[in-house]
Amino acid sequence: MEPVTILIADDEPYIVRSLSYILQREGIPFAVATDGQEALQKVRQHRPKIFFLDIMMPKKSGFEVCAEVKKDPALRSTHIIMLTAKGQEEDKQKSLTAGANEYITKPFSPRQVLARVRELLGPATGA
Amino acid sequence: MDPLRIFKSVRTKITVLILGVGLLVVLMGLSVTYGVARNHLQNTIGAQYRELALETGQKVQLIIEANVQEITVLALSSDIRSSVESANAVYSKKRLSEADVRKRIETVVALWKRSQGAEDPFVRGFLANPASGLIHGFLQDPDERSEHFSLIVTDQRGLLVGADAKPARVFYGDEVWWQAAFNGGRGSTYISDVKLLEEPVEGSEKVYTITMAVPVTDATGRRAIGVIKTDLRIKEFFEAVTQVHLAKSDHTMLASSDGSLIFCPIFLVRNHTLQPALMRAIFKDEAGWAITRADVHYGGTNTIDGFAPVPVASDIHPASFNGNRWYIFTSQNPAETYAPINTLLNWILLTGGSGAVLLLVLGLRAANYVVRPLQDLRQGVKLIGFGNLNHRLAIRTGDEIQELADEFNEMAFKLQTAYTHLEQKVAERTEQLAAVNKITRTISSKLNMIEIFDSICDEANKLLDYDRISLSLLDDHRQQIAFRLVRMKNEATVVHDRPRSRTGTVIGRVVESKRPFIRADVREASEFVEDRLLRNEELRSYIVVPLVAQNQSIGTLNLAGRRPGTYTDRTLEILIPIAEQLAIAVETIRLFQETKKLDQLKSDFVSKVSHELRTPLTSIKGFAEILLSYEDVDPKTRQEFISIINEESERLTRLINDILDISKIEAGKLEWHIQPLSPSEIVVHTVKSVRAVALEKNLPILIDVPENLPKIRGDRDQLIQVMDNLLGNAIKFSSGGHITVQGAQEDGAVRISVIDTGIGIPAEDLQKIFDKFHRLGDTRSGKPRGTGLGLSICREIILHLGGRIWCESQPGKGSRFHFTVPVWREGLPDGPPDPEQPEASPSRDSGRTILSGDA
Repeated sequence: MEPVTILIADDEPYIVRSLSYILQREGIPFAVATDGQEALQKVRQHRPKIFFLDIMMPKKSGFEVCAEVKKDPALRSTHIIMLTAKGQEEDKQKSLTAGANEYITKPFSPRQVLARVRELLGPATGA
Repeated sequence: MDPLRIFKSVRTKITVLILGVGLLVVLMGLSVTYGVARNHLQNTIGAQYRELALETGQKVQLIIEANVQEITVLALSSDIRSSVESANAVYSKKRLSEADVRKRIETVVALWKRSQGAEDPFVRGFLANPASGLIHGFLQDPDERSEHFSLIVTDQRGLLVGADAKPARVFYGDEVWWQAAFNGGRGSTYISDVKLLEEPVEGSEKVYTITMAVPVTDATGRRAIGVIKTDLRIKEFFEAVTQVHLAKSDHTMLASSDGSLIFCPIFLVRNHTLQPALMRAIFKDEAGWAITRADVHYGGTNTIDGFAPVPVASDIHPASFNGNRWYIFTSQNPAETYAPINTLLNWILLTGGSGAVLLLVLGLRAANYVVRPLQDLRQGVKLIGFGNLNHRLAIRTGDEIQELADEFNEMAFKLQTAYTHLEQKVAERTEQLAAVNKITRTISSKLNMIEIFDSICDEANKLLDYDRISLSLLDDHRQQIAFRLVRMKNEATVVHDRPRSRTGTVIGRVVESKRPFIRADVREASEFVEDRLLRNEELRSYIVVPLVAQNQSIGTLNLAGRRPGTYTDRTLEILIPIAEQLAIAVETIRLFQETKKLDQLKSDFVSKVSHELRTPLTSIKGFAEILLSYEDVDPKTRQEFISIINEESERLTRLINDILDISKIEAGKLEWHIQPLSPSEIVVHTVKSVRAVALEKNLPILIDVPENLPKIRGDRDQLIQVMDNLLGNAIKFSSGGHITVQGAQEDGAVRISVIDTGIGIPAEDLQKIFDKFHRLGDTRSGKPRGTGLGLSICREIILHLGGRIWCESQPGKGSRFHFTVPVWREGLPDGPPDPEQPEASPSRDSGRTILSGDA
């Protein structure tokens, strides 16, 4: 089995579905978590290169998960992209404070997301 | 052990001790008394009885001697002697041999037997001589000789010489008495034992007698020539012995040394003999007394016997008294002897007993005297031990117990001091903390308030005369004065934030009546608290005006002056506009703070709405883009994506509708059509509309709503929305079992319950489910998502209708949602309830209230 490159953490099933469809089509191995705790457990298990992290999740918020991942030296190379429905300055600031590398505001475009993923993974992967 | 019992036993011990000592003394008294008294009694009675026996013995001797004397006198008379001599002459004149003499005697005896009575010539020969005459004369004396009978005289051989009457016999030479008295011619006195004569004289009755015989002597008096004998009745002796008495049961007896009783006042003589032990004790040569076993007439030991021998003259013949010796002895029933002692003992016992009872009483009192302070001590120590440190032991016995009590008091005092000190410290610290806390809490609002107050004061300075100005503000409930701002003229404002009661104050009255109050001089009045307080500050007059905002008193503005009568109606003309201004300012500050709070709530709401709207939009946009980007999406997936887009569009629509709904309700812009409604009709209507969805999930819906429930007061569309929401949730969160709708009347309302057997709600979430945008559900289930506003809307509707809504649940077993709607009553207005009622104006505390009007 190919190592997981991307981890998607969101409690909204349709958002997960849309993202996973694209990654599947592109042949990028990924895993899914639907709450904060599961996300933390899976990020430690798979050590993905890219971590899509929703903010408003049950059990643990995206900010908390983000802070814990950034504290873990083994996960230093994980690139965290926060997914937030609130396009507000406050959340942006909070995400960056928690250590997120970047954030995407909902509603987002799957094409844009894919382009960013390709960029981050480099030419070696994909296709 | 029960402490009470210890004290009881101490009391018992003391009492028993005292009683024991008392009884010991009584017992000692008893035994000493008994011993001494007995000894004394025995000595006394013994001596008495010895004397008695001695006296009686002498008396008996005297009687014996007197009688011996009498017959001796007779024996000495010449008539007797001559008669005896002439009788004796027969033996000497004819020189008769001894055989002749005997023959002659036999002849006389034979002749005597043949004789016929006293008149017989042969007999008369004996009775007609001088001796017989003398005897007759002697016996005829009625006083002196009554005891004598059968007085006879014999010659030297024992033949009858003379007698008073014809004796039974004529020859006495072989009789003991004759031989003893004649004594072979030497003569001696003979006294017989007491004996029973069957027929002492012919024809006489049998009689107890004593025989006495003395010799008749010749002229020289040396030689016995005959014998004179008398038989004496024993009456004199008997009386002499038996009539001696000292006490009731004592009796004096004459006993013979052979052990037989001769005289006894109680029993017939000869009926018994004395025991050898008694004989040994009393047959003694000397008079005396002894203690013996009583065996004569009374039972018992320790009989006291006094005894004495009957004295006898030396010339008494040894054959006298049947060869025995006579003894007198006196004895008494021991019961009587010792009766005085017993009486004494009884008396001692009686007095001793009374003494013991007295001692018992005294002992008990003494014990109480000792024990009571101990009990007090114990009680007090217990009280102190339980923490009643104010308690002091009041024991004034002046002994060690008091000392102990004083030490306990000292200890309690020290403890109390220590505790009080500690308590004071705790109280001080608590107070400090409370004050700091309060200041922190109110500081922001107060700062603004002080600014306003200060500007008012500056304004008033120019217009009004005052020495002191203050602002009193009520708390939210308008019950207490929450805080006051006070300023003396030309000084800084001071904040008093300790809440004060408004009872009995002018402020209270002004707040209540919303009318100003003027006091011209506090020295002339004291009905209010202020009158007294201001007097202490040397202020004389004051004025209080209410601060009224939205027709409610929120506080007062107060001025006070040193000069009496400072304030008049004119002052009011100036002060009232200022107060109005102040009231508006205060209210504005309050509203501002409230608005800030609402603003925060609103921005939270907006932020949440934004999030909620963006989520379905993201799905729609995402899948639309996928379908646009990838032309080779397989038909099944394509169909799925289009369904999702459709579903999320619907969700978006619902969300927007819900948001509009709740905004309308909160803003009070919803139109309500209040009318009487049948609960069962609404339930049936709603169930019909959702039944198809439920049946898809194989969920039967049971209706248990009686048709005869009273009509409720509500809006049909809104109530259907509530039911729709609740049933929708029940269906959504159940995957089996059934759903029940129940209706019941309760306390002026109808309660509708929607009961499912679904997944239930965790206890921690029960508090939040009615909040806006609080959603429950399994995110992975892929089930249609709610808007998170449904229950919020239900709550707003039910609260608006004046009912309650709440939820009970057990995770895994199901949930029960209940709501109530008031019963329809004629005469009530059709419109919504008074918006002033707190439960009907939820906009103020929305986002805070959790389980609706359940509180």
